[in-house]
Amino acid sequence: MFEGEYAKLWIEDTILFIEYRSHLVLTKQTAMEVLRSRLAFQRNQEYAVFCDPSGIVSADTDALDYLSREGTLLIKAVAFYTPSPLNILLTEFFLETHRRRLPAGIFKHKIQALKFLKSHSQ
Amino acid sequence: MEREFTKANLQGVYRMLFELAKGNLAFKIERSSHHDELEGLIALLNMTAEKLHKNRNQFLWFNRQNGIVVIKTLSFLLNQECEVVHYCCEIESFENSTRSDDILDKPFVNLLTTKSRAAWKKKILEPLKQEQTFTILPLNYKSYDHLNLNLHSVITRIPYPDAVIYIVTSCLLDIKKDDVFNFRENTTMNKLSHWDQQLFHEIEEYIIDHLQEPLKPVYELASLFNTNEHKIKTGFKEIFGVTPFQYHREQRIELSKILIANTDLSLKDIARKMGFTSYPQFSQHFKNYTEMSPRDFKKRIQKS
Repeated sequence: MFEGEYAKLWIEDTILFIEYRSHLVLTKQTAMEVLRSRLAFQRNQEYAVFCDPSGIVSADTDALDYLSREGTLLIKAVAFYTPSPLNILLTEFFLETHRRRLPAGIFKHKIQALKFLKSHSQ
Repeated sequence: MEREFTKANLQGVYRMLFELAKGNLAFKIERSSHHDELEGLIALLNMTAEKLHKNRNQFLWFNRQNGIVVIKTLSFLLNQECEVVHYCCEIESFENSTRSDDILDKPFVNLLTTKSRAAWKKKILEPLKQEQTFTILPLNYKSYDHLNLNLHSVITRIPYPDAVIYIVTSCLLDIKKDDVFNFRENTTMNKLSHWDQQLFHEIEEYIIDHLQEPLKPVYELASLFNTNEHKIKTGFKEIFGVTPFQYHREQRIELSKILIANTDLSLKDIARKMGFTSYPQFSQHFKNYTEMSPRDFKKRIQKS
């Protein structure tokens, strides 16, 4: 488990979990710091990522651009899971406007998200 | 608790839509601490406006066939107590939403949002007190109820023997109908239609999505995007400053730099991951772009 200033990271059953801290305003600087922590934590391995963005309250376009490019390094697939209506919409906006080839989706149920990641974590 | 979609709750959304329709993209709706559907809608509108604003600014300089790019300013003269002594406004949306009685002789910070007030105090006033003369910072002005106007600003500190005054200049890039110069006759003037802007944006997205493989030749890109080779070669370079191939290579190198700096992967592995056919090829491109070899870059990172 790694507890950073902006996110908590841990690995469980070959899946990397990222949980953003509460009340987080996501800027490019924040995104860069999260990426640095993630790459160091992964120790050169590629992972399928389960991301809980519930703590994010807003994100600027530079941060989203960065996450969609540099932020996908050493990631096989990403599943977003959040119960918050605000974060569901923020994540949908991100996926709609920054569509990449990386398999990604937003899920209402944790179990569906994990199933999606399992199919991409081999 | 979920808020209802009532007229009162949607005031900011309506005002934002009016301003977007008028082409005012620098506004943002004030955010709250709610996590409900309405807050999601507000966040989405803000992000959409920010994205449109960024895209428009990127292409503003290319669409000068009917208009000229102007910098509209909002300037304030502040006394030592940072109260507004005088101000000039060229930005209509700010002028329409603020009365001069609420500005003159009042503290300047009253015009800013809570977040910007904190930044003003922390990043501007304190460094300025340490004799810094110019400070650049985006300032968020309160505009219509529920809306904020985010403007790039320069704060100048002018010291006198017995007092200090401040000049705050905030600016907004805009386009104005050309009625002074006849740009239409100037055939060398760059022209990029909205279709062209969309096209080059899509080509850029395509390149980013295919960094791990060799980029298709220009004739294949032209066929893929239903355009011609000449347009891709000249248009892409005009916007991004480099050819599609150089852009592809530079983006690969940028990602490689992140992997070198933050992982223990060998340089050969990084070269392979980034789609280079061999380490010498990677090293050569890296050196051309950064003026140092990947090994030297790694050494420098390790030292720092």
